[in-house]
Amino acid sequence: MKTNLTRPPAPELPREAVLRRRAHLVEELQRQQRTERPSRRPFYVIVAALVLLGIAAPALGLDDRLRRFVAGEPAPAPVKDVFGRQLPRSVIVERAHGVMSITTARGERVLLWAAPTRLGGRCTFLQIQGNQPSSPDPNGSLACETREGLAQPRTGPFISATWEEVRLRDGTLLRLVFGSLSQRSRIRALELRTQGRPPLVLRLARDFFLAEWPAHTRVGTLIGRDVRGRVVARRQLAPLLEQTATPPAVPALGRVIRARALYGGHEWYMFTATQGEELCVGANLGGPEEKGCNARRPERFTEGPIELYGPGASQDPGNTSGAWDRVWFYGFVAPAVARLVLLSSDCSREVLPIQGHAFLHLARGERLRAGAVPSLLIAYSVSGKEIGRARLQLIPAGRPESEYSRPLPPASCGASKQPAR
Amino acid sequence: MGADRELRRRLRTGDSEAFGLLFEQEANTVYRYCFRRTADSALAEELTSTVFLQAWRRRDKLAEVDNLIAWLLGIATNVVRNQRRSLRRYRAALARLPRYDSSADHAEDANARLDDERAMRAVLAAVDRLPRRDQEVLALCVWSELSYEEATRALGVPVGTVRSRLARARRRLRELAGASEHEKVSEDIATGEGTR
Repeated sequence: MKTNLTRPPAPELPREAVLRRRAHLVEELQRQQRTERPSRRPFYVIVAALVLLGIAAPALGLDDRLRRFVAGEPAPAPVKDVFGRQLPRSVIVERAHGVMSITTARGERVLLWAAPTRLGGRCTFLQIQGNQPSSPDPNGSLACETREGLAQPRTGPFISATWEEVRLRDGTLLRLVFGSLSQRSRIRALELRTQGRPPLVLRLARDFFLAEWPAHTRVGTLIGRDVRGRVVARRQLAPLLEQTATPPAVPALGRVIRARALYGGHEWYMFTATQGEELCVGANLGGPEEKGCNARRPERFTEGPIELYGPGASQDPGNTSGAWDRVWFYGFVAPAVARLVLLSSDCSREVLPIQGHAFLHLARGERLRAGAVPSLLIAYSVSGKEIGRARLQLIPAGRPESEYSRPLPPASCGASKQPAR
Repeated sequence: MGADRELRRRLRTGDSEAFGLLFEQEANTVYRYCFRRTADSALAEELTSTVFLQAWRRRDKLAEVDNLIAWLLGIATNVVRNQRRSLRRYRAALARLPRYDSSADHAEDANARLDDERAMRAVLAAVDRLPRRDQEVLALCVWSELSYEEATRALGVPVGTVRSRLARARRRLRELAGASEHEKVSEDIATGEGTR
């Protein structure tokens, strides 16, 4: 085919298309006429006022408000609470602010919060909204960078990044990539390159970025480009974990109250729940609820029919005695276990309820102070035969850390006897 | 000529119906120009609307305009040159305008449009070896058949510059044509065929 450079193709829009577009264009022009801005002077006045405000704000005591305006949305109380409770004390909680947010393809809202530390570092909190609305605590993950980490000398722009996998209530996996840039001014655009997918251009908010990881890919590289499109920074990310082909059917995460009591006028409780392949354990000991989810190990019950987590114990402020105010533990039992008995140091026995192969127990302070310290778990089969034991290695309160390797001796009260039904 | 003067007077006063009339008369001139600069009919359609929205914004300059087509193609040159910025600026307005529904085309029309795009891409691939400014002169003087003076107004450069750019474009294309299939056509350009 010969290419005619003097007489290139001369297509035309169909007459009816021109007429239709004309009508709309006229409508649009009339609309613009109604809302037309006569002059740009007000714009310049506003810009000048903002510049003046920036200069005068500190003198007028408005710098904090102005900083909030410029720095982003201040974090709400639950987010500040997370920063305050779960991160080093150097975090300046009151300066926690929103950095950016995205809505995932499935509609979850993910927010990235940041707070500086008094030592010149920075902490971030990645919050996934709507994942566990029943919990008063925001759900997400936390990370901190030290001042040295942020300020270490670089020869060029640097991309600090990581990925996050969150199992949602319906069992699906939400995968995110987020991080920050140093020498932001030199990186005009950031893209994520993954196997077999077109490059994904990431939105940047100040120094930060946050995006949903492309589906069906595990390996990716972040590439920063300057204003001329040249690559000025590159970051290879660790491969994501293998994704479970078909997540198991999972019931909605429900709170299962296993233990409750009143303490200082507050109800305190603990719960376990399964969520996809994860076990979530939560506790509210008269304060904010704390909860964490961990992957359930596939190699369960390799050491017997009882998989025990704990025990944990705590003392209230002012209690300097050698007794704990509360002790808790939880875990799973193999399907062969029909009955689980707790033997305490005073030789008392207690049948622990098992729900969905999970158990959880919270021992109250008055029982502990009376010498009934949880000591041993014994599993029985349907026929009443003992099929396993797990020792609760509790350290007495007040013992120096150097003696932690010497837990309380187990109770010896004829543990092999059948429990009272 | 009197009707043209009357149209310009109405345009200057911000008569949107007059702009509608101008659009009806010149939409295809602008569309063809945009298509020939982009080889993309859908994009050219968007750019055409953008040109008229931009023209509306600049209507206060109409007092200095004596050739509406040259004026519109001058705006179109800038719009094509800065197409991302232009489309972004008028994104909201463009979103309100209806798109030409190409799915309603007959198969023949659709094929013709694809053929045009393919042919135009080949032309642009050849012309792409010229500097952008020379390409603009070529598109205005050769493809849109503007005179040197009209191209001068469209581009806002002296007539001598238009002449020298066009001459350079012809010479360059002649050189490029050496062993290529474009030889004859390039010679057409070199001899001024197609130029008013």
